[in-house]
Amino acid sequence: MLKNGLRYGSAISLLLLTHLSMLGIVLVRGNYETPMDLVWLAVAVLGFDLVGIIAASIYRQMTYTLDLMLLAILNMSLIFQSCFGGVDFFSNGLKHLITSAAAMIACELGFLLTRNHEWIRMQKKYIYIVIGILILAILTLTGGRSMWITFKGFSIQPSEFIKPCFVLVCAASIVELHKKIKILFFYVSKDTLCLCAATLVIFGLQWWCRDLGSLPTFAAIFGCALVCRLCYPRAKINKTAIAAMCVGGVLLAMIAWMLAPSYVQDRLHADIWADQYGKGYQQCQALIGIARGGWLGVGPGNGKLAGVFAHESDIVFCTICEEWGLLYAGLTVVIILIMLTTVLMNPPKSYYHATMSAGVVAAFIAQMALNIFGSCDMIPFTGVTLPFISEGGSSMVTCGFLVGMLKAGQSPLFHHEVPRRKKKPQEKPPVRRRADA
Amino acid sequence: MIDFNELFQYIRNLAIPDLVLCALAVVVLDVFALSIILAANRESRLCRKRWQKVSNGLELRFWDNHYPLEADEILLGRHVSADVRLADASVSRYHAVMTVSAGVWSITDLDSKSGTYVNDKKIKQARLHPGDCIRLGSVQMYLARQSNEPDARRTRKGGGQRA
Repeated sequence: MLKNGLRYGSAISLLLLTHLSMLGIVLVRGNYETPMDLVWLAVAVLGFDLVGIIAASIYRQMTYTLDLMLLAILNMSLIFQSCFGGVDFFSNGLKHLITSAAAMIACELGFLLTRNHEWIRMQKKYIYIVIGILILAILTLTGGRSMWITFKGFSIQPSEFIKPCFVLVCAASIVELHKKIKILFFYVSKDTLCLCAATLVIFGLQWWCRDLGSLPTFAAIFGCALVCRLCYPRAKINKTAIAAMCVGGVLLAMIAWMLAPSYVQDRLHADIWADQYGKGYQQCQALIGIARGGWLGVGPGNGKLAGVFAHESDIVFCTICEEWGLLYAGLTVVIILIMLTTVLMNPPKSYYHATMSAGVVAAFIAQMALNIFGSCDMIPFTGVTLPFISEGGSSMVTCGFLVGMLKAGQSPLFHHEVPRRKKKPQEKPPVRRRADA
Repeated sequence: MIDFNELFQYIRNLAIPDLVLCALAVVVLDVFALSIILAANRESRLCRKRWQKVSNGLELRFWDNHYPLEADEILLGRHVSADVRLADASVSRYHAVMTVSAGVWSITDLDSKSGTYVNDKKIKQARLHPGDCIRLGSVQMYLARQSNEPDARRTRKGGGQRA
């Protein structure tokens, strides 16, 4: 069925079995009023599986594991979200199903747009223009120092869409590093200068909008791009430069820590247990929820965290821990990590795809770390979403697009315009002159 | 017509232990992850084969050094960041770049001072074929099919062979 000649029967069967086993848990341990609640959820999950597999088979790709993993995670997330506070697909899960479908479409779009690096290199200026438009939208349409655009009850977060553009800019500029210009006494690459300028603008915007939660994600992407530059070309690691970069990063982080505004300082030095019913309420409840869930959880829909603000987005990991248990929540994170590490099993063959894949993985890992460790009070609480699991259209679409970029690294299109070798003009045989007698 | 209420009630009344149910779900998830890892492994072999087709399984040989062409773009030059570093004064820092498309390698001169020569002919951009002799400044190298000799020295940098 899938078009690369390999068999995926067992993987697809296990994918369906995974979702069926989760539905089995909901059936036996779940909190639902009528069986139809569960039937609708089962129809949605299995239908989405079927549509996803058919959609994956449309395009010829070299690898399909990322498609299957994405499908598995999105449907797991759909089951989790539908069960929060009681199993009810229509009030809890329908919106998430729509955003998951949008994520799948964004994934295919990301794949098709980014698999040919020759083409994307030519479109680089348009990516900068898109970033500029998104920044302008944030500055003008959000109505103040905010990252959200609200229109008739529908909210989007444009800063999320900057992430894939930023990864693309990082990747598209690396292949032209050898084109350097001399400024004063230094040879610098024009692309590197443009990238640094774009980074500064994005960081400044995040600071101005008080969305410091996303800042580490952008920093991780930029850090990866820098490391790829220092290691350009492939596998050649300049240890001194990397050490200098690490020291510089630590120094910058310390300066940012000291200069952080008062509301950030509050979070950095917050003692959540001293203010259990005030600023620390969410995190206290989240930690209590994890403890209440234990290894196996209290059962889907039986958790109390569903009444806490942002239980489906910022502290979603703890909500899953409470209802499904620490074991299953941990395994869900492991599944996401396995999806990201498939890139290591099949390393990309071009600098562009390698940098892009590194940036995407860095963005996901940074975001996951911020969400999970933040909600468990191990680092300051940032309010960043957990990729693929948290509710939110902008986040889901961005995650889908980023996975499409990973897929592009696995099934790239190598297409260069190569001039044909000119055929040598055939020498005419010398005309024999009749020797004059 | 199936009576879902009765069926669901019957299943719930079976009182399957939580531990058994959760362990089953965890095992299924683990096996799924394992099957994906195995599938990814098979895919990586397939991709390697495809890359062999794309790159034509070629390598650069200069003196006793073998450099397998394992990326779609190979930078040749004197600079430390070049893929194939040629520590010779006649070679520019970023001298030439080799790219591949559908099994055909081509070389492009990056405005080097001493020029790039393929089979003793100065070129700006040219297609390459196995057996072609490439000369950058005074360094000469050959494009050849990859050898499977165990003692073949694979290198990322070297002095090259003086022309």
